[in-house]
Amino acid sequence: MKRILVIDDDPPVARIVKAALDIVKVEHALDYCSDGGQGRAKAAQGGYDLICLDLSMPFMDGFEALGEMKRNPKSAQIPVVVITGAQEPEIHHRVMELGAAAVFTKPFEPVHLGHVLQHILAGGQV
Amino acid sequence: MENSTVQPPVPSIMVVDDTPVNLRLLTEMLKERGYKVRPVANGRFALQTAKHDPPDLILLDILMPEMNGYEVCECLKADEQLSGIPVIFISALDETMDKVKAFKVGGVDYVTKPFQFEEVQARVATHLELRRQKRLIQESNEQLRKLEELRDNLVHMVVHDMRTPLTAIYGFLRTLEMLEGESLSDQGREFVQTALASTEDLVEMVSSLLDVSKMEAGEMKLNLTQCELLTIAREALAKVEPLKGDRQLMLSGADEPVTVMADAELIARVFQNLLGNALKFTPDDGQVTVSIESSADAARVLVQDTGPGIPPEYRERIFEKFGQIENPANKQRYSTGIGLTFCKLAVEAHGGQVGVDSEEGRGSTFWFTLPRRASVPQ
Repeated sequence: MKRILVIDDDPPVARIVKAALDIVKVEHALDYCSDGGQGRAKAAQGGYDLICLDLSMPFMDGFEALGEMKRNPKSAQIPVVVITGAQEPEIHHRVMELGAAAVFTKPFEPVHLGHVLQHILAGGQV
Repeated sequence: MENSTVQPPVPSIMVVDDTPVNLRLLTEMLKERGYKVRPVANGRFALQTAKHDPPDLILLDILMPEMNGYEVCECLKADEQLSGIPVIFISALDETMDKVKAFKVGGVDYVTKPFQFEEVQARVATHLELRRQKRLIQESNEQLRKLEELRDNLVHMVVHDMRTPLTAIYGFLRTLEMLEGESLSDQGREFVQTALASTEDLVEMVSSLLDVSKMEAGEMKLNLTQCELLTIAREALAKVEPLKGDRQLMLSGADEPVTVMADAELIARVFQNLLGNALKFTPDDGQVTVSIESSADAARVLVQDTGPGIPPEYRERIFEKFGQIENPANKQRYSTGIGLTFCKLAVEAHGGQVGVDSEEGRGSTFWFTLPRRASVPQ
C-alpha cells in the first residue's frame, strides 16, 4: 500500500491522480490538502511514498513548498511530482532544479501520469 | 492619464528676434489675432524660457548676435522635451542655401523679411493645426498600444485560468473512457470520445494562445531534431479522426519518408490545427486530403479541403490574431481564432512559409513549407 499526498488548490486533481493510480493498478491511500503550507507540514510528518504538487496556490505556492520540503530532512527523500498549469519550459526547468522527480502540464493524460507515478514508486527515475 | 497633452485654449507662440522693432511688430499683430505671445530678444534666453514653459510654436530670427537662429533650433531639436515644437524661421536671408539649411536644422517653414503679416499668420495657423493633429495621433496611438497590452494580459490570465477546469474535464472524461468504457453503450462511448476531442481542441487553443504571445515576443526556443513528416502527418490524422464524422480523411501519395530539421511538437500542432480547421469547414460528404511534396531543399505540406473556399480579400487576414471574417449570406462575423496565427508563426520560426490557395465554392488548400535544413531566422 503506497501513501500518496496531493497538494493542489483544485480538489478534482486529487481524484484524477487517484484514478490514474487505479488505471495502472497501484494500491494506494491518498491524502489531500489545498495549500503549500499545509502540504509541507503534512509531508514533514513523514510516511509518504510520493507527493503530487501544484505550483500556483494561494498562501504558499509550490516553489516555496518544494524548496522547504527538500530542505527538511524529514521530507527531503520523498519524490515530488509537480503538476502545473504552466507550460513554460523555464518553469519546468526551475522545478527540476529544485529537486522535483518529474513535471506534468495540466491537463495531463491520466494513463501517462499513472505509469510515471508507478515507475517512481518502484524506485525508478524519470 | 499621465502626460496629458490637453491643448491650452489659446495657443502660445514665442517670437525670437534681436531687432526690437520687428519683435514688437510681430508680437502685437499676433496678439491681435488672439494668440498668447512671448517676445524674446536673444537665442540663449529663448532656450531657457522654452525649457521652463514650452510654447506651441516658435517664430525664430536667424541673424542674431551670440547665438544665431540655426544654433537655437539645433538645441531645441536635441532636447526631447522641446523637439516637437514647430519652428518657423523668419529672416532677411533669402538665398536658397539659407532656406535649405533652416529645414536641415529642423525648421518646418521659412518666411523672408520683409514679411507680409497675412503670410506669417497663415503659416503659423497651418503649423499649429499640424502640430495639434500630430499630437492627437500620438495620443490615440499610445492609447491603442495600451489597450492592446491590456488585451494580451487579459488573454494570458484567462488562458492560464482555463487550464484548471480543463484538467478536470479532460482527466475525468479520459478515466471514464478507460475505467468505465466497457460498461457504456456504443453511443455513450462515442459521446465521450467526441467530448474528449473537443476538450483537446480547447487545450490546443490555450497552448497556442500562450505560444503565440511568446513567438510574437521572439521568446520561443525551437527544439530542433530530425523529423519525419509522414509520421507526424499520420499521428495528426489519428488525433483528428474522432472529429471527422462522415467526411473522408486521407493521406495521399505517401511512400517516401520526408525528413526535415524541425521542432517536432510544434510541427505536429501545425498539422493538427490545419486538419482541424479543414474538417470544420468541410461539409459532411466532403473530404480532406493531406499530401507532402519534397524537393532538394524544402518540404511542402498541403491540406486540401472541399469546403466553401475563402474569398481573396480574406486569404491573408485569416492568419492574423483574432482576424474577423464576415459571412455575406447572413452578415454574421466569425473570428478566425488563434490556430492559423499559431501555424504562421511556428512555420516562420523555422524559416518556412505558410499560405492558402482557394477557389470559392470548390475548397481551399492550406500549405506550408519547411526548409530541409532549418535556417532559423533571428
